[in-house]
Amino acid sequence: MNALTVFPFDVTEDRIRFQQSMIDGENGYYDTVAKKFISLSVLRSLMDNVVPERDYRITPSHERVSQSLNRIRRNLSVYQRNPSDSYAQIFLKYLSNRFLSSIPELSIDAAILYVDIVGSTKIATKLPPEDLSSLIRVFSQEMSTIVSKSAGFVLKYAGDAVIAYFPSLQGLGNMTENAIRCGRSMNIIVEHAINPAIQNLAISPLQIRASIDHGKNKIVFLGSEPDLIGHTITITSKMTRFAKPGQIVIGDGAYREISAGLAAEFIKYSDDNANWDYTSPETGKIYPIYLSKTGDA
Amino acid sequence: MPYKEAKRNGLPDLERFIQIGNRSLLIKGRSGTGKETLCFELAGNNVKEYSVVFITRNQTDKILYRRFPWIKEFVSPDNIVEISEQDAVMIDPSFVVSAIVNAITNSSKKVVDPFLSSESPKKPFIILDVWDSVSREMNAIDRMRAEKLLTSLAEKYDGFIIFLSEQTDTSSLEYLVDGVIETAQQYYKTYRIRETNLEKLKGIPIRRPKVPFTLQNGRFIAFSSLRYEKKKPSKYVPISNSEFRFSTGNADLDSKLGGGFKRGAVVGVEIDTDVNRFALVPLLSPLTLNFIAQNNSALISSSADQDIDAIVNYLLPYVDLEKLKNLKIFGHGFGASSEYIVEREGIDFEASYSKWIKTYSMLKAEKKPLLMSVDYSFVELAYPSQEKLVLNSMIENSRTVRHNKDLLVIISRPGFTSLEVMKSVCDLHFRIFDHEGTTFIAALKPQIFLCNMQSSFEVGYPQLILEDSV
Repeated sequence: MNALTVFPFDVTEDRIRFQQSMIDGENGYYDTVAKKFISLSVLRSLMDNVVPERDYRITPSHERVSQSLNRIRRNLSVYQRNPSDSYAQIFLKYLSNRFLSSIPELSIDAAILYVDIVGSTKIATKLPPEDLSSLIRVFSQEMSTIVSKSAGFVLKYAGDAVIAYFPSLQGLGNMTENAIRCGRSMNIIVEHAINPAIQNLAISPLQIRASIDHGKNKIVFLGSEPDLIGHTITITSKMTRFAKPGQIVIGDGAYREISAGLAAEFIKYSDDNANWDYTSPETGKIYPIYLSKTGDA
Repeated sequence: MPYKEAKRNGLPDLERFIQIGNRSLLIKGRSGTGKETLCFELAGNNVKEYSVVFITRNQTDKILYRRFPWIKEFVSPDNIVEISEQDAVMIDPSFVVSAIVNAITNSSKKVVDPFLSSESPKKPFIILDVWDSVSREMNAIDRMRAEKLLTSLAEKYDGFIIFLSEQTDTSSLEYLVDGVIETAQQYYKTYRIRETNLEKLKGIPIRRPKVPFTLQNGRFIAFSSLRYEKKKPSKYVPISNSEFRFSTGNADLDSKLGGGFKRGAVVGVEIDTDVNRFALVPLLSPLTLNFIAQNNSALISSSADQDIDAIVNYLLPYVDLEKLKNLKIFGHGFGASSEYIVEREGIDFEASYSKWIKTYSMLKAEKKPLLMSVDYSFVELAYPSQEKLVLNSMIENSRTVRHNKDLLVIISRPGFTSLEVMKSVCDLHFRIFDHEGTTFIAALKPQIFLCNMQSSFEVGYPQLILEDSV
């Protein structure tokens, strides 16, 4: 099967990174880069949390919400003592790198999702550095798990922002709709898992905003790590500021990709003050963007 | 106590050797010479960076914790890997090698919960206490390969590995490892003196290749040379004498002597010529201070090469001036007249000695206890033609002191006739000597202790600190 269309599930085929080994009578793999042994049972539980599902979306009553809440509570204090990434974070980054490196054309058609915390500067001034860093760590870990379940890959973390891409994967539906569902699931997790867990931090509840667009992106290698550049990824990050807390803003490229039913949930952004002056290279006109009807708007 | 803490760091060369990123060390030495204790001390000093793995022959965690209770803090039971004798001898040694490799690899962390922040990976600090029994079963080539493998594992995991060996032939390993040290012991009379020999430490200029140490209380304590640093002085706090004993003025020494010197005792102190004379200060200053601070008397014959002021300088900061009225020092005062100076310059021994007897009687007028201290090797030097009289005076002084239940301290040095007489007349014979740059004091008659001696001004006045050499 073409690597482009399949989620790189069977990491154990990567014999360079994962060496089969047995420790204390347990079968598993030794991750030669992370220098960690991961037993088969741990690998299975990790996969259960990251392997994408078709039309994945989280509702407030979803079992993942309470799982997330427990995990966040535990991690908040651990990260303060010990600011190192979880293995899941390392693993997801590896999956993304592996996926992008497997595309020979060095170009990818994908929906880009950009999500960040509203008012993060204010939070940064209010929290001690240890609290802030553990908050950002639990936030990015939860966001990346949802991205992965929603058939996307985390491209990178930029401070309080997570940038993800959703390529077309066989059997996993419309990539742009996956990204939109992912953005909505993220809001649920923030509201029902992260905020209850951080109640005793002296900050107001977190709110996020997201932007999504769809188009072609170039894969470039900066050092040994693959990265994406191009019109879509640039415009997506620029659109984010028009989203109100809890809202999702999508570009014309994404709007044209989604079903009529879903499109009906977005309203075209009209800008009298010409704050949005980005012109489309295709039409030469202002590039249309659309705001979701939900959110604090 | 900060003093003792400082003393623990007695192997700075070895600490530095680990810090600069060396990977392997061979500690060789016969059984019971302190190899394990040294290993654990080194591991304990580096726990911040390393997680300690102890691979042992047949010691369970319970036995180890009983022997070294203090390692509980940094060696977890999971990290004590026991490889039984059967594994080592009955089965192919390669099996044991792979068990060791597994134990080392294991320490490099398993993922237990992929969503939980992983502990920052600590580098393994491996103490390999089984290598002798494994390597004995191997031919030379296999053994060398296995040794290479193990040292390269330390490199791979950014760790540190210590091989412990009781074998004499460790040449192949010595060539491979970054450092070689030997723990050894020798006997002096019935006492044991331990020492570490730093044979090779890559990248480190070895400043003290031989470091004497003790295993007091199951800890490795390296002995350091005698230090002199003075602190802000405070008044001496006397220790009261008991009915039968004079306190030595030093709590450490009192407890070793069962409460101090017997009243009426003659104490001989033999000091080797290569020992810094300062060594006498922490021994004799507190003793003298303890006498005069309690309004008892002290009669001292100063060494002929010393200004009397030198002695007074050692006492004065710690007692009130008026206490010096109980003190008389025989010596050369350079014309200065003080209540405590008795000038003996320019008179022969007979005249000097009769002055001595007179002064003694005067100090004893109130029948209070008296400390008499004479450096007889210097008296011998000062009156070479009157040797017989000098030696005779030692006997007379001893008799007087015994009769009046006072205390006589005689100091002498090897090569002097007075030393032999001192040895015969004294009830207690101490010898102060140098061993590899550190100063020891041994009780030779009776044989009660051998200690490394150190001076301390921690409390504001000179004190003798004694660490048993065990």
